[in-house]
Amino acid sequence: MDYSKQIQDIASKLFADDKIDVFVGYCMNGFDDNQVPVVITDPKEVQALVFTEKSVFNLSNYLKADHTRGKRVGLVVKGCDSRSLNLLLTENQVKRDKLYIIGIACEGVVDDRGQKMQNCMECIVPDAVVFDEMLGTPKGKKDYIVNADITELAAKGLVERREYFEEIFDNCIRCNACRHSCPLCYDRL
Amino acid sequence: MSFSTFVTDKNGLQKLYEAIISKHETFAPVEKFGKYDYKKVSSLEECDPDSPIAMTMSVKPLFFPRSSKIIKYEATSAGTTIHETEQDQLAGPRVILGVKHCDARGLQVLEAVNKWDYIDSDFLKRRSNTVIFSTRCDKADTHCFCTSLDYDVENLDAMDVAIVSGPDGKIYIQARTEKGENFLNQNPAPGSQSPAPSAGEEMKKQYEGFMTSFRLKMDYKDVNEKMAKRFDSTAFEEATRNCVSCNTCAFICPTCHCFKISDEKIKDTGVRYKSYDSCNNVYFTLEAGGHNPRPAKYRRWRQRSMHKFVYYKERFGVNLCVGCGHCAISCPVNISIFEVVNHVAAAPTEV
Repeated sequence: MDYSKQIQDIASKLFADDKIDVFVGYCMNGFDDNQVPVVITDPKEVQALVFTEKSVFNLSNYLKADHTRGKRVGLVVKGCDSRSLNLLLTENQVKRDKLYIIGIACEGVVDDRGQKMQNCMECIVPDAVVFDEMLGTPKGKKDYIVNADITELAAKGLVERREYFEEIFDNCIRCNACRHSCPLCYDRL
Repeated sequence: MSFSTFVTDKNGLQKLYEAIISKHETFAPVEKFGKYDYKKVSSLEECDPDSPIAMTMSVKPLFFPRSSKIIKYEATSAGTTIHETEQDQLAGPRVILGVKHCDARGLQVLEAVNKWDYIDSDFLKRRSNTVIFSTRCDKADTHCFCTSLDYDVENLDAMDVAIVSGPDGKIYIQARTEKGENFLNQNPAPGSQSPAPSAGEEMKKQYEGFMTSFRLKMDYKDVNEKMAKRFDSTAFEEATRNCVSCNTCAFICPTCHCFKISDEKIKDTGVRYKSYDSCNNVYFTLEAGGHNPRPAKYRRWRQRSMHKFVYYKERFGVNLCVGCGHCAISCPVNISIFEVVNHVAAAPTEV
């Protein structure tokens, strides 16, 4: 799954045709083979764009930032990202006509150790659901499988369930980073 | 004043740790879901003083808790009464094992601000009652750059007792402060002897080996100087464009000390809390009238990085960054303060 070249071409064409002000994509982090999100405003920088199975972060999160608010934005979304983008559209947080969306028919992403993500193993919507252009061959929707952990948790009693969550949240440092990195927790920043 | 150095092996060190845990209130890194945090321990088995640096939380919360009660009060139409809060759980005599050098230095850096203008007696009391055992790493992690920042290996007194590994499984236990010296006198390491004259040499060698494992190196004096001239640089905006303002960097930072005060009041009784905040938070400078002097993300980043590398340095003589790299490890989008300040320092001075 490497769409780097296609994405670079699309992005430079969009800038050349004056269809977007900002492009949100992924680039290499500069020291190992992992990637970071990049917000591009200068057409000269599009050569840095990449997309592989290491493109993990959900870019629709950037639609609530200063750099993209009210601007015409081009961005890359995988199946999962596109569903959060769809929700932002439904809840009137972004305007569809201001976006140029490159949808990916995703084959699953890997973590920084190269292991396929657990979420991707259970993914039911690998293809982007909202897009202007689709890269890759769509695989269609899969049947919903209830996560084994959830089945196990649901079978527990109230007291046990409370204990489980207390155990999990014992590690929480209340930095609220989860809230800020979540595209759907969009209380204005 | 010169301090004693003892030599032992892995077993001897374990025995010393066990003796400490059995006699004193001890905190050490405890693993949970792959991450380590400093917790109270009652046996050596439940903790790991050699926990990997990338997975270990900062020791800061043991001195400056994430949330603490300042006062309790009762406010009725008859008037307001202030009550004392419960006894400070962190103020008693205690020992912390397995503190990383960067973390220990973080506490030393924080002490400067805590005994400046306003004297934070809680912080200072917790610090003076704590004996810190610090193990020097053998190898730097991806985002580490601790030795680049005000790091004086010969005169490092941020920890009370330093533990350095030597060749052939030897382990050196070295008192670094008077507190550490007294503590080692009262709790001698089993089987330890006065070291051979080569001890200093071998510790130096270990440090040299450690130095070569760094991916990141910085000339902080150059960075301090250049950043001070680049307040208006657009480089702040360029380097931090993909930040999601999640603030986790400030929460895990060993030196960040922004906090907020909040009241929790139910009917007539309330509690006033002091808890962590971050200058990267958009609400941090929001004034009651609605004006926000730092409305844009890059301005908040400018404040954060200038405070760490310029203002604090000017006022207290040390950088407010110890190069632990935890911010970059926890960052959801992999931003490193190292890259931000270097990008700014390398930018042209003209706007």
